Amino acid sequence: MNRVWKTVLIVLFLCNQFVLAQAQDANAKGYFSFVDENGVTVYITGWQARVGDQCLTEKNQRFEVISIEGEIAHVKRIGEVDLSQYDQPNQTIVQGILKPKITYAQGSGKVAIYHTHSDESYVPTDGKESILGDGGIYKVGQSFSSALKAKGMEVIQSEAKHDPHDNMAYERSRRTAIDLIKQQPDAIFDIHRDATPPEVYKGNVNGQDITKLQLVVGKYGATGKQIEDYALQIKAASDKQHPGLIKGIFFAKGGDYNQDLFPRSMLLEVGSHTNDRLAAERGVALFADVIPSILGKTAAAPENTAGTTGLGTTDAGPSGASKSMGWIIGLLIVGIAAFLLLSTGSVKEAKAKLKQFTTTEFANFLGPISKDRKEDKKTNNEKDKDKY
Amino acid sequence: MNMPIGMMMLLVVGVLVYFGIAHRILDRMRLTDKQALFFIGAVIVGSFIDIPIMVSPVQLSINVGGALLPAMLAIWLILKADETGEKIRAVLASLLVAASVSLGSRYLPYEPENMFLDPKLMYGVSAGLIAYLAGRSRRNAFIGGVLGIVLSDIIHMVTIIRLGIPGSTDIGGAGAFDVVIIAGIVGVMVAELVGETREKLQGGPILGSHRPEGLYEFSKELSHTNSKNNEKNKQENSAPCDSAKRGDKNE
Repeated sequence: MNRVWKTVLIVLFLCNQFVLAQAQDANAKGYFSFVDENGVTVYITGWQARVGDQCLTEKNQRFEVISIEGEIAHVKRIGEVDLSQYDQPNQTIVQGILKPKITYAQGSGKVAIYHTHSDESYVPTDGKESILGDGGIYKVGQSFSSALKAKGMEVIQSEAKHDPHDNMAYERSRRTAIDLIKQQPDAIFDIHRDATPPEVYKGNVNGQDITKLQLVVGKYGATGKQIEDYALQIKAASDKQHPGLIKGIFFAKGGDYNQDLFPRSMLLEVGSHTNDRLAAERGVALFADVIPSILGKTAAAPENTAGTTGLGTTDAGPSGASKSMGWIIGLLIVGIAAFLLLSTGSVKEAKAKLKQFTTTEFANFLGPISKDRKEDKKTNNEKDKDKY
Repeated sequence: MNMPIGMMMLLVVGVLVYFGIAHRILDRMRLTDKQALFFIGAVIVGSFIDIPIMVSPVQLSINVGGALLPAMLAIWLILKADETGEKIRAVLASLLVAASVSLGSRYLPYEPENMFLDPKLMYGVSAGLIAYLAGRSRRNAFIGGVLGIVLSDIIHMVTIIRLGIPGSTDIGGAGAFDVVIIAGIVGVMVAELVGETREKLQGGPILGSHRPEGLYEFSKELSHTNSKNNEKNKQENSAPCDSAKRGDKNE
């Protein structure tokens, strides 16, 4: 009976969380302004800020949220990010001669596009901010796709729908993302739009009225460091070709947005619901110019041949991929140590259990098969069945 | 696909660690080491197979590796349970997880910027907590996580049909990396963590001579076995110490 009460209590606790979350949503007015120590608004986004979230502005200034007051996020400046280390290396004469052959051998690149929030639309052109199953965001995806195709790239755009626009949408779109990854793309983009006043995204590049883009990096998973490097690399390439096209990068701590599935995954916010969709289509088409320079790139700087997308160098330090691997292995070791200590009760017992694991498990899989061992395995299997 | 070495290595490390953890979890689901390994192999192959179930009013399909195999394992575990009470608790845990996922997906912050915990983990954690409280069992946590998500997908399908929202449901469509399997794995890890922590807080297993009979003590067993082996080695003056002969294995 006691157990039933505990179960009821935990369900009530979970329900309470839902209600709180709903109340929090209802209170939200729309967007967050990031204000620095001098009271200057340095960044605006529809993403709800949390303490610890970071952003990189258009001018490559990095800020971290230190406190939240209503819809004002107080930030402190971390510093300026030198994107030159993410620039494409200068081409040598030999590389120049070989380039057409390399391009031919590697193919021109395959890009996959999908839309987790299939309802997202643009009010001035689509009439509503949300059209279930047929949002204006698909047309923005098509514009991106056409621009990439015009550059000779292969594009797969998924028309899969993931509505309703709820907390499980990313888990449903995870299935779409995996379907696309099975087709071996070089890069995969999840295209969204933001929810801010129109002026935040309005821009003019090469004389064209466009909406700017925001890159979103999920810092939740262990692969966050590597995705961060990838985002900085994209911004560096974009700043070089179309300065002002990328409004900034938002580093969110709340999830990984399926960026854990593939190292070249990126979430794009093209304009806001208050912007004109046609301007968003023009903006994303300009962004397509940047993609060929990002794909197939292995060096971060001329002197940095392993690069930020390789394993890193002595000068540049470990790359994001190396840091991510470090996180995964570090967490694994800490997890195993904690589990061993908790389950055995003492360091001595934990060590003994670890020793027992390494000797028996690997002997079982890799050791020579002898009659004696077959007998042992039989006993093992019987014991396994009795476990728990 | 052209990818730098760093990204490739990260992919390999990530996949190895993920399947390594999955293996240790499946090892606790009435499967032997080899059966667990075979199961993971089947899940990987099955990830490439989608079985269409219906086309209208919405498309419904089920992925073999991502949902069918784990769901079959979960149902088999329920059927193999010793007591009727345990079976009921497993079914109850699955229903509660499905309810919490469906309610959660509706009312929890849905914009990624507002999420405070990744949904993949959140539903795994709730599966682990609910199943542990309902039955204090790792197996129930796995069953709750797997069947809870499968049921929540069916609820999603009913919802979109009822509201006339265009869409499709592909249960377990992300294969080995689907939230169905992740929720099962995270559920067991949470149940393990809560269970072991609770035992530890209550004083933990007694070590030494007062340890309850039948409670396994690794260091003692090892020293005992080693001394026995050493004696045997001395007598035979051959054959290296073979701790695998003990016939016991890691829990």
